[in-house]
Amino acid sequence: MAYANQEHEGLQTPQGMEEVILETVNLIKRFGGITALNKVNIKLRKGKITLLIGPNGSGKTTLVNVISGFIKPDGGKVIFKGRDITLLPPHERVKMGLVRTFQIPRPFPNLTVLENVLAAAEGNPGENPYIAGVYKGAWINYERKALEKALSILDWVGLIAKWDDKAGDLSGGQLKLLEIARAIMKGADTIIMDEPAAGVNPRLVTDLFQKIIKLAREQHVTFLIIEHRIGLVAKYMDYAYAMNMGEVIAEGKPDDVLNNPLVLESYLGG
Amino acid sequence: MNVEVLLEEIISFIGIYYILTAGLNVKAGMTGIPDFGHAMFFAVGGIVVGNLSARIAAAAAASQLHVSAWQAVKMVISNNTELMARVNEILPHMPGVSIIIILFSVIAALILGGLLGWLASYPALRLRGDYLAIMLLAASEGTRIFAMYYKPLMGKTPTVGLTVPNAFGFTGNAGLWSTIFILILALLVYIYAERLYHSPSGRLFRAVRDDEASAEAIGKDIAKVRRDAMIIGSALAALAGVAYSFSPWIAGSSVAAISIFDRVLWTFWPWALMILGGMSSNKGAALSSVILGALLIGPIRIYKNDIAAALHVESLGIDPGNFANALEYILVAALIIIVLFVKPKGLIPEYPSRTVSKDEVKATIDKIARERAA
Repeated sequence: MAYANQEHEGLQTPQGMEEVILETVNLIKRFGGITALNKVNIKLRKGKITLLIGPNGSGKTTLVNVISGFIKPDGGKVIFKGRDITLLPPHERVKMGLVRTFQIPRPFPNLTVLENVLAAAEGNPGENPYIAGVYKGAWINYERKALEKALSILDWVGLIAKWDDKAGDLSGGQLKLLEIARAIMKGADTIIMDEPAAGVNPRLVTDLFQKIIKLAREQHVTFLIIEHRIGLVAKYMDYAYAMNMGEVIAEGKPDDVLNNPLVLESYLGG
Repeated sequence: MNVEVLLEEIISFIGIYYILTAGLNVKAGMTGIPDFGHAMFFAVGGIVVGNLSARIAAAAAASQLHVSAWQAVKMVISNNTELMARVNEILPHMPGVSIIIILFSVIAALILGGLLGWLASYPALRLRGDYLAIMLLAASEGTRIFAMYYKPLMGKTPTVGLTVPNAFGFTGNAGLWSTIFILILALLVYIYAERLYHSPSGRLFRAVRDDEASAEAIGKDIAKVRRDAMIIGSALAALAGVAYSFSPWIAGSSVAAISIFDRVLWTFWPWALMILGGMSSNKGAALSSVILGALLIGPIRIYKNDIAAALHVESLGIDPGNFANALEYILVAALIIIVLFVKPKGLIPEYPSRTVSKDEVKATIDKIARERAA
């Protein structure tokens, strides 16, 4: 696995595994009269896979949007790597290593699979259009390195044969893999995934989660995963939170959370 | 019609429209900014030549006109027609000044066009889709009205405008050399646009167009990307304006606000060419400019009256003269409809940005496969 050599800053020490990398403090978000998030506190630990469950409308996606900076909270804080990032725009958070994927995959449909991954490269000098159109020497070396990394990642997620296909022509499952490939290309050390298994056939789901586990265990990448198909994925998780009506109603080991009467009730009642 | 003049007109038409369409393609085709105010940026080029470059010419010719340089510069606005008629008699004997004027016009248009694009990018960051399109169209129309009646900008008479300096007069054959000048500009723009397309920047423009939220999610500053596209596309439009002002079409007569701000010629035509060639496709923009230049200026403009007569349109109650004048629009519209039925994505559809060649990608894939096997 060629890309395994890439460095994840600050993640080289196994002793740091239990460190809290991302934390929300009393997050509040209201939409009109509805309180979508009501004092939500969650913690993500470095290199762990954390599950977030809850019935429809419980505030899971709102929480992801607030953490990734797509919407601003009405109160509370988001702390990432010890820094208050509550007011940072999304692209600044990405630079710090915090990357999200979408519930419905959002590739660049008219770009090829390879272009989709290459576009995720950080700090490409060729993205300065005033230089890029005039002097190729300014960026070609960087681009060649990025190309090698991108192709290794595509090889690893199993999309290498599709490198020159338009992303818009991929299947739903392949798009999820492409989103992971882009997040890895980004050099993300914290990945938030909104329903990665939705609309993907069960065999691909197993495949997908094996890749996620490998990233978490070998590269110490931290994951927050929202999922509805709990039975399929619970066994892969290190920790779980359950939300209902904008509040965290249970947390702990995935099995304990799943069997918590409050959680069962929220699903049946919801 | 003289063949040489005809060729000059065809080639300069192709060159001007290619540069203009390439600029629009960076904004609308690649980055997805629906710029219906493209004429406004084209007009910058005309204003640079008619207003700023003319002042350089006037200052240089002042001593021979027995006025001070400062007076001559002021007369560019206050007494444009008379002054420039005499300046244009003197200018052909000053090749150095002429070349400075040409270079100045190109550089000033790129800078001022880029600046106006940068200004216009502020609403472009806040508005989307239809709202942005109508805002840019309104800005272009508003600027046109302003330019028509603000005398220090485009002279005293809106329909007459400002006489352009005869900067190619020193060559002895202004028509030929201004055509060569336009051809060189167009080739340079083609090389630049193609390189930009096949660079990480081109890829980034297209990525932002495809999905802004997704581009943000991978850490792209989409406000900056849209701003860059507005600056580059608008600078190219202003360059097309300079090419037009020096072209055999103008041939040393004048640029007026009503002509250089014309939304049909400088906004809708490039849109039509861009759609015909293929949105976002730089090669397509070049091809559609060539096709239309060869088709429109040659056969249609020369034979339009004969075509109208041959079709006996007067039997349908249509005035043959009006029909002949509308013929180019009718044929271009028909061409677009036919092409888009047969090839919905244009003549040369959008192609991937090859930052490195396809062969090199394949070689790298093989290398990775070998490493994995080892």
